[in-house]
Amino acid sequence: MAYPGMFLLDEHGVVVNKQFEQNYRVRPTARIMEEFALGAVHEPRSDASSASTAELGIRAWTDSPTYRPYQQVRLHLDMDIPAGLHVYAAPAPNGYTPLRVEVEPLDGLTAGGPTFPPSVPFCVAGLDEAFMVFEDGLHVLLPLQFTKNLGPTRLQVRVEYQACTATTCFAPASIGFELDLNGLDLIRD
Amino acid sequence: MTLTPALPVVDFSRIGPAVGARFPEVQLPDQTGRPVDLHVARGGRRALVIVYRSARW
Repeated sequence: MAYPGMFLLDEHGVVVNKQFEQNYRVRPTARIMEEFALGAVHEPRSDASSASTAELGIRAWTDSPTYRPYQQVRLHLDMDIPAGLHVYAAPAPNGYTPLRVEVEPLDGLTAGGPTFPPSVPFCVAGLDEAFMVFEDGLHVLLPLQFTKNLGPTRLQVRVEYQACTATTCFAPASIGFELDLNGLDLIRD
Repeated sequence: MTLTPALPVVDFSRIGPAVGARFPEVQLPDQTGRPVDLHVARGGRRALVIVYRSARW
């Protein structure tokens, strides 16, 4: 097998799905393999970080409290938007702030771009611009990859957003929080 | 979602048994050296076959 990967077999032993990596150094977490086999269920870990404002509540966690170099680890963010409120999505008209997730750079950490669910069109009374917004709740995934063991590692995450109601556009705001992970050595066997 | 860049694009649909095909008969030793037949061990249940160079995660 030139490439590492996974096969999902049905009750008859027939391959129903398969997934590979291009590099033996890259490994998914157990959570990713579980989702491959059973489907995605993004349950927050019991030690998830929480932060909120009046317009947005966030719970954040990673696939695993530990990581190894080149392991695929994902940052999960569950965002709750109170009824009647909306959060602008990209692309937003000039002068408005779409929902953004940023991870503070660390030497040895590569953070990919976040994956957002589909947004919906929305109009604010009295404004000519057409907006795309998120409503109710959304789950955001952001891939992380460490290229070395940093030992105990604190991720600093910032979420920027701008909320509105059907008649009011609020000022841009941000929420910051921290997540602790523990680095482990690369497995070479 | 992989972040590892600069590798040639590979058509993974052509790697290994195809989706829709029965997985081959495979017999491999377990951690005690006892041979295990994949399809017998499945016992008619679904299975996840993971192919990596070690089982230590």
